[in-house]
Amino acid sequence: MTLTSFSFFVFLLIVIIAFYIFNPFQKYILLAASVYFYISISSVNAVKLIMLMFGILGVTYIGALIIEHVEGKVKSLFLVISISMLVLVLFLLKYAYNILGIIVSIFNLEANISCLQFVSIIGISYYALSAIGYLIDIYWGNYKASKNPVDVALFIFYFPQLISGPFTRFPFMDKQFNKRNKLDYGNLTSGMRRMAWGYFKKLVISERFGIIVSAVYGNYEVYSFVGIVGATLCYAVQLYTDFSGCMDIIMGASMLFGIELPENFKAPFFSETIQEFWQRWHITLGTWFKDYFMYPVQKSKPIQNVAKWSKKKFGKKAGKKVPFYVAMLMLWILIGIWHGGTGYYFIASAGIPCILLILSDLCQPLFAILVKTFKVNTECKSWCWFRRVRTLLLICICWIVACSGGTYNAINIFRHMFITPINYTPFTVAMETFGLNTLDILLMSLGMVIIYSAHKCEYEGTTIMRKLDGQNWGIKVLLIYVEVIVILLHGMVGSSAFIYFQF
Amino acid sequence: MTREEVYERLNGVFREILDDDSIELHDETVADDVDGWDSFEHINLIVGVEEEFEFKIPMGKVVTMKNVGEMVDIILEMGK
Repeated sequence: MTLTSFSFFVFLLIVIIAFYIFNPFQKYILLAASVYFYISISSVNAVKLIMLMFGILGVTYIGALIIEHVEGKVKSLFLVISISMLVLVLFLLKYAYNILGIIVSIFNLEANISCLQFVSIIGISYYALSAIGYLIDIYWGNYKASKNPVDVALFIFYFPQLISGPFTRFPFMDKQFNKRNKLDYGNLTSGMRRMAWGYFKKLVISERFGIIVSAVYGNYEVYSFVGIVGATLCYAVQLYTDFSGCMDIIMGASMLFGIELPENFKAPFFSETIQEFWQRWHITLGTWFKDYFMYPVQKSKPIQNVAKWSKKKFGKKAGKKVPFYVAMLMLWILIGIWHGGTGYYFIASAGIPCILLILSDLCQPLFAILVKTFKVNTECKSWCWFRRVRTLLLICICWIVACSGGTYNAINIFRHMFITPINYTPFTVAMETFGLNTLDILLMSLGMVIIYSAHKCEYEGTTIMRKLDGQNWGIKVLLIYVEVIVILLHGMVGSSAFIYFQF
Repeated sequence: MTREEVYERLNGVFREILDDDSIELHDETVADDVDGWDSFEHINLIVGVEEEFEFKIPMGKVVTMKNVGEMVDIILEMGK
């Protein structure tokens, strides 16, 4: 089963019927559905998968209860033990092969690590982080540990958010799981519309842009600077519509049960700085790492000692940047590992973003001087758009590496960008080369207009769905019909999986 | 220590760390309302508050407090 398969709709329909008919058992139905869903989408043996789920649940549930009931150093010890067990499972099942692979290749060792190449466990990096967040919250005393293992299990394995997030906090979800939800027309229609919007993004827009990306990056030697940058911008659209489309499907599906999930995107392409981009892209992952890693590290004794030392050495203003950069470096190393830990992807998802963030912060005084010297009007729209385009192009550096498929390829692509002469190819000829016809171009252009409108709405603090809610029912029905018909007739069903599933 | 006294000292901490004498905090003030109060400065502000009021803000409170009003409540409860 995949989110785009017919069997997923049948599964969802059965769960919805059971959920609303057997009202008193709603959370048990959701848990059973989550276990079935996880088994159906995984390529791992069901018994092994259930054992893994029981293991993770056991460590989280028992660990939290013990942490709550002990004090002092024993409390810290149990937190460390519980988290270490979860991290060990995550490391062995997800990262060990890639990380050891990098070490073996760097030091040219002759070690055989193929025994660590397990079958990929989908979603583990998402639900393991949810479980770790729960344990830390209990340790901090933010809320009480749940005595009901079903509640904890549902928080960790709730099927809509199991494979790609978004990350949530236990009380937010538990409150919703434990209220008895009645069949609500508003929830059903909103959920279905949100799902349709997600399918439109993924199947109609993302897959088409993906064709250009694959074609250019599969044969990058013949493409110049313009070709590679163009394809990378297409990747930006592909990745955004793929991941945010996936989130729309997940949130829509959850809404069918009356359960709300937090938003993961807020107009990322309208970001004027690199820092702002990461606050608008995959928001809940950023919040998770900020709350459970960045802030505790920044506030820790060793980093505070670094802060005192650097303030003495470099003065108050520059001195406080040193501990922040140290903590940020550690944060991005962790984010790079979380993204899979393969060499080139580590560079794309952690190395370059971290360098860009530090450089942009260091260069702030220089930019301020330039703005003052050239008397730039920073209040006008053109300045705002210049900053947006500049931020997107800087992020494209990360995505060029991500698309390259390997560190060696990435270096080669950057080299070819500057040595391959620019050959003018008419737009229609280029599209024909990629196998895209007039209808494809039309749908892609429509997609771009819709993405821009969605961004504008999100930037203004609303959503395109809420804007449409204000329309007359005739317009709404017409739009939904058109959307569904376009998905059914022109959706590229059965092509590739969602990009973020690999993490 | 009254709420007004806390605000007077708290304004001083924020003004010094963020280098902005125009800062005026209220119960409803959130990070977005104050220029320069970002994730980079957040912990500097927390440490500044801890030094000023001579107590440690528990980590759980650091990540869950929603506005300045909640910060003042914590100071009144635990600070000196």
